[in-house]
Amino acid sequence: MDIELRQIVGVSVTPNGPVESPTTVDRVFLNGRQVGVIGRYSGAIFGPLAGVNPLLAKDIVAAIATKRAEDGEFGPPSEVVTSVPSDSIDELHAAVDAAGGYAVDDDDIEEEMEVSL
Amino acid sequence: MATSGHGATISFGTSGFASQFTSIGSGSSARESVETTHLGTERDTANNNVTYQTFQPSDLIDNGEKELEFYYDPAAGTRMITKAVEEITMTYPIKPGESSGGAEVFNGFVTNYTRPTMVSGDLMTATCTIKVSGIITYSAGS
Repeated sequence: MDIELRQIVGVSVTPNGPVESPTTVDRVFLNGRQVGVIGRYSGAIFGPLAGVNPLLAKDIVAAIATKRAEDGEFGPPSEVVTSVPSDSIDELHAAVDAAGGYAVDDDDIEEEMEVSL
Repeated sequence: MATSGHGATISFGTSGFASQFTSIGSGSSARESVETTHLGTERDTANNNVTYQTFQPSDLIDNGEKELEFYYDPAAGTRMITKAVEEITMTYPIKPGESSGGAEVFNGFVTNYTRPTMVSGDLMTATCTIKVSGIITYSAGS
């Protein structure tokens, strides 16, 4: 996996005017395109950009860990990958299925039957 | 060229809070004006000798707050109010022809968390307010 980390060096607006300001955050590039950000310190959590598959994000974190181990500058990132939490939605679907599905109003059924006739 | 905010993200460096954000309010920066009028401030002799108050910008800038709206996840949302100051990175959408988006990096913490209203047939959404602590570093996309 072709992972590249580039430190974000930006501009801060201070009372004395704008000054160049290196941050402790890296942009993460996969095949030349940014896919997220991650802190420049041990245990930092990878923040994927919108649309990055959670499974791909895990692979990216593993690649970052390998790269940082090679560079020796920081410790490994956190294994926790921020992704869209779906556990609660899955639990909701499971609860609905266990209860026999969604309740439907009788009037709605009658209306649908009338239309279909 | 004007572009929409679709594709913007916000990442929390140590808490790892994540959700499906529907709105990221960038907030505003503000500073006070400090009055500098003195006894020798020039009069406007052409207009009844009035004196206009003079000011200089304060050396203190408040970088304001960021307002977030997101789909509520009972497993993740409420604990944000308990988190310490952390490094937060807000990324702007990647424009056509760019390989990376602009970014704002700052320290911040949650000062307000609004729980969702629960109704049938509508997704639960929550909001939180992040207070920016200190400098915001801006970086352009490329």
